[in-house]
Amino acid sequence: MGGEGEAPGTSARPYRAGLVGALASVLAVLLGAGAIVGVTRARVAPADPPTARFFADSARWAVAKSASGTVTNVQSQVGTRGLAIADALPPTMGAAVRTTFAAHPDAAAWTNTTTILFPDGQHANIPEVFVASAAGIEQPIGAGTIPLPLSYEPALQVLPADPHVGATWSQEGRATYAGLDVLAYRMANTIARADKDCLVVASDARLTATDQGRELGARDYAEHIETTYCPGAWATTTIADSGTTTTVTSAVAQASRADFADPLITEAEPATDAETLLYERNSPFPGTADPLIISADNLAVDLDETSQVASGVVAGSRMAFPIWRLPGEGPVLAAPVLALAEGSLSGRAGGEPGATQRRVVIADTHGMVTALEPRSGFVLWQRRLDRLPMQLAAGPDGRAIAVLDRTGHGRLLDADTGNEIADATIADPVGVAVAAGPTLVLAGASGTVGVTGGGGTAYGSDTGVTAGPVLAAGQVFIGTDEGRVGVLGAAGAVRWMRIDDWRPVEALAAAGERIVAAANGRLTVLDPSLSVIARLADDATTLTVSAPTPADERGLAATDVRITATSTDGTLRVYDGTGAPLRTLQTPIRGPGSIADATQRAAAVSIGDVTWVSGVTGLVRFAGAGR
Amino acid sequence: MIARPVRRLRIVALDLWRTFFADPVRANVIRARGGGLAGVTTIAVGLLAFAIAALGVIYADRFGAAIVGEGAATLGKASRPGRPVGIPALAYPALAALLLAVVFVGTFGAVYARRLTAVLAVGMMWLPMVLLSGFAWSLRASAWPAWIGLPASLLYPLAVVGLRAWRPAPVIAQAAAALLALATITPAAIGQAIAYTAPGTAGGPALLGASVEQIVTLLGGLVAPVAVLAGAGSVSFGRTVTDFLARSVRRLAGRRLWAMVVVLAVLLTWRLMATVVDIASADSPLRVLVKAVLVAAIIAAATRWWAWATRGFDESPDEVEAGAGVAATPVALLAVAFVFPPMIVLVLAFAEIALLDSQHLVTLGGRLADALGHAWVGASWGALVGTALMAFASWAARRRASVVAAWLGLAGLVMVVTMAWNTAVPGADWGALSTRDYARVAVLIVIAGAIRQAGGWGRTRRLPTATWLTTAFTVMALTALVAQGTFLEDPFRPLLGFTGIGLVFFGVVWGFLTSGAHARATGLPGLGRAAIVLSYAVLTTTLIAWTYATGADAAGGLSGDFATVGKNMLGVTLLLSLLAVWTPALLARPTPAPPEAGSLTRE
Repeated sequence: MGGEGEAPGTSARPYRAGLVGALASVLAVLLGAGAIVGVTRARVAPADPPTARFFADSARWAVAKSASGTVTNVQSQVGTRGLAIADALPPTMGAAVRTTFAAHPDAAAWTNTTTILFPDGQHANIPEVFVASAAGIEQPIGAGTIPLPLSYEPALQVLPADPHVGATWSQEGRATYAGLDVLAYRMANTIARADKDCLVVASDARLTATDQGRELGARDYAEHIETTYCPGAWATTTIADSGTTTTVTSAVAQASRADFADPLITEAEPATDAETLLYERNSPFPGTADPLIISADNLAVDLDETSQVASGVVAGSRMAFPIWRLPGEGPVLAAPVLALAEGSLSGRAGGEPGATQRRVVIADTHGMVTALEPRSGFVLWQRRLDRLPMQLAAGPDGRAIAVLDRTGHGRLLDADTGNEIADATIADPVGVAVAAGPTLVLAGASGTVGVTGGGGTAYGSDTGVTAGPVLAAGQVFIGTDEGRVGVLGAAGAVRWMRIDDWRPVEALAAAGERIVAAANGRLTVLDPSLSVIARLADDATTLTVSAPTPADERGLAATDVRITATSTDGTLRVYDGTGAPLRTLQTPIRGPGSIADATQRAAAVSIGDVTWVSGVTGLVRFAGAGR
Repeated sequence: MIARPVRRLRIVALDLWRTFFADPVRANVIRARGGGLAGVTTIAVGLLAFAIAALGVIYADRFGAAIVGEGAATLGKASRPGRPVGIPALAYPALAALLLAVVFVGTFGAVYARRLTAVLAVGMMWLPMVLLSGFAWSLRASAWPAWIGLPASLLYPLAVVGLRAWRPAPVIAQAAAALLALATITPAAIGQAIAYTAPGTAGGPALLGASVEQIVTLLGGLVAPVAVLAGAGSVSFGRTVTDFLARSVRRLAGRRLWAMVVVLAVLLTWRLMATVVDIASADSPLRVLVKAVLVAAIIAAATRWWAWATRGFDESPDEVEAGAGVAATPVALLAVAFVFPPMIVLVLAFAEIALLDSQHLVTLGGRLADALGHAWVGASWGALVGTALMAFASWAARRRASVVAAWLGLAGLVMVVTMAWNTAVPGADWGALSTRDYARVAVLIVIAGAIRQAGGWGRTRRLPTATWLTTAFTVMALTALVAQGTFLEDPFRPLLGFTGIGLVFFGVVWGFLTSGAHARATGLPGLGRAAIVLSYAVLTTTLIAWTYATGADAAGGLSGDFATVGKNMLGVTLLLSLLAVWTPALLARPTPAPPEAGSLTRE
């Protein structure tokens, strides 16, 4: 074999046949490629049916008033597309959602999560799932007369297949929670009128609590309701015998709750086990971001990649359901941060910021940045970015947050309103921090830049960064690919400490008076003057440092600082601020039914003697000494 | 009449165009001769796919940052803790479609290429198709297309063997390649998409993303050889640049020998100051000096070895580089060979899971990967390969002097020394032994030579020869570029504005366009080889685009580390080879230029 030269079949006579054959082959390959693209695109992001036009894609707020005009509750609502939420619901509810969805080939799912605040500090967070299709809009999961989501069988018909004035439909069935019969329902609906593009649906609703339901706190309910559904806004007004609920702006909603008591902390008996699964994941994926622990609110925030849901759960013990859920439009990559609203640092006992001033800020892969209240999950503002967020940071006083996207564009946002204060761009982005001022600090492979709200430049360095920036003692620290940790001064001055001459700094974390760098299988603990406190053999590739608020005037002791080092194999090592090892823990990295170990991605966080980690089984809380 | 300086500048500009663009591209453009329309259209599909993949690399950050619609972004599994990887959903079909093109073009090439090339090509294409169709096979209950991919993939090598035996006309081979590509890739990709997004499936796009990410991670080993060569190529590119600079300086200097001396003096002063500052600013200047002594000893040994191994040859730097070009690919394959066993076992493990529903090989593959993941395994393997190379080179050079044997011996020496240093010396205090250390010593060599030449000038009042000046200039310029690093690793940075992906992108994409002598390929075997090279380029560029689009961390793990290995091993070897040739010339007794020796150019 191996003859050289022109091949048979390429001479002039069979030219036409060759041309047809060649074009047919190429066309077949191109069609094959097109089929892959087309099918995947259609499966992952299918086109919406016409009735999906009523769904809303951003946060909304509503105020409910009694017939006498008294504010009875204030609501925030977040709507997101997709079926992903089914993975964050109890299995029976998830199955009900999927059954409804699978019944219609053109279905589009939408989740509307409502947080309700009551004047006495009580609160509830209830996800409702809607499925739009040629058959109208159905609701397999919805609210009832208990503060839990209920599974409606058959799914409630919210709008009919052909929604026109005069259309009528009625249903009856039951509503369950985790297999328990809670309610029997009977609905009679009519589209009473149209107002421009909006439809007004008049319903006679009757919910009858079952015996099991009454044990859970359910009650009977019967009312005539008129609900106005508008395209892109969902239910804008609900008029019932007992009162009216109207969509308002965030500012009006906030003002309407001015006289409300602070949301109550969700209390539970503290867990006594050494290892407690606080929040169980339905799919075997480790968490996508470090958990956020807010001790003052007894809250841990966990992010689930599969369901794209951020959940606030009780930090100290396991409960059957989260305190709140925030469905994302995509999975959440960046760890959530804690910010504070204006004026929050004064006026409360012990200098602790008030419950209503604290904000958890979360960003999903679709650029939606959401600020919500930790105790209740009440959404305060949302802001949509045009690029995929990569990292979030909060300032030392918590009044500004920064969002860095994958292109290196960083934005400094007011924590109270979400309004932009400053922005800057860095090539090959690595990280973001907010320094005093507030100053937006961006670090990348091309250097570090710091800009203030007025547009001034506070920092600048052209040394490539591989980790950081982080803040400690009011100063900005960075790690480089030449194994150095630097502290940035004004006018581009940088002071360096070499911790490894060979390998890049892979991770950098700081809190209080401690900066910790990971490089070349070793952790180096530094103080703000870059003096080495300890060198520790540890192959961790991600770190967190926590420093509690000093209890008295003596200030923070180094032994109160907790350094938590997380390795990809799930090994967690906890040290104090002197570098003394405190405990070694092992988080599960193989989910139920999995055949292979997962990679532990999220960093663990320790406060005192407790460590939390978002692992493959869910959010795990470790207490005590470990090994 | 054009003024002389303008004419010289035009000549320099023309040289720039020829050196960096016209000549390499002309020599390496794939001409698709010998296969008629079938060959031309197949190569056209490959080039189209290559262009798409290359654009994917260039625009990876924007692609990765794009918010492309509901449900369209998910996460991969292979990210570092705290730095998860985001995968735009459009990346799945793009990856599969490009794999389809890889198999189509590569299969066409495998029908006609020589046997060894064809075997390597089939292996290269079999890995992704078995992984993709193996994943899909496990989902066949919920997606009927998944039934097709794995049987087709398992029969694929037999089909290629049959086609090679039959040796059909190109139009038939092209149709067969299209059918095989469509049968192995398309149903598996569509089956995965359907199964993972079925309404009853928990996870959806996240699972699909994890599945594809796992496949890409396992394919990472395929990029390793080309990434190693890309790292080495940066030094080779540096020599092309410095040759061009030296030629240009000589042309612009014209007959004025002193102008060349001034340029060299300025360059030497700058490099000396930079070296002094570099050493003084080190945490421990003494340790830098100790490293310099070690490197000087290595250069001295290399110079003696080179003189013996090439005895009788009067080799030029071009011949040195040609020798490196011949030997670099097998050495690159040898250097990374230890990553292939776990990769192959894991691929077989997927076949085992799919076909037998058992997991014995998963455990074995995991243990093997864990065992080979330790740093000492790579170091030991490198030292073993290095020792073997030195022994083989000694044997070969004893039998017959050659530049290739000389180069192989130095490659072995560099591997052994680097591995020994990295293993035995604490990196935090001493740092790695890198091209920068060789660059520092090269400055000292030129200074020593300059002092000797100055002595000669003191005795005879005659300037050094143009050849000596050119060599000294080339060494200084090359080591300056090597020490600076960024330009050689990413020369497109100022032009295209994208950063951080230079070394691998430059090595793979630009390297494909400007090396390999594709234009010399003739006949169907040549066309087959060119198609396979193109197929490999599409595959590696696609994998690199994927990793950069999904996060820089993943890209670093996949290709950046191997590129650094290439720079530190093969790049240092080429630099050391050139220094071994240049050092005797630089330190030779002064032979001053005759007074009538005026023109430095031969234009």
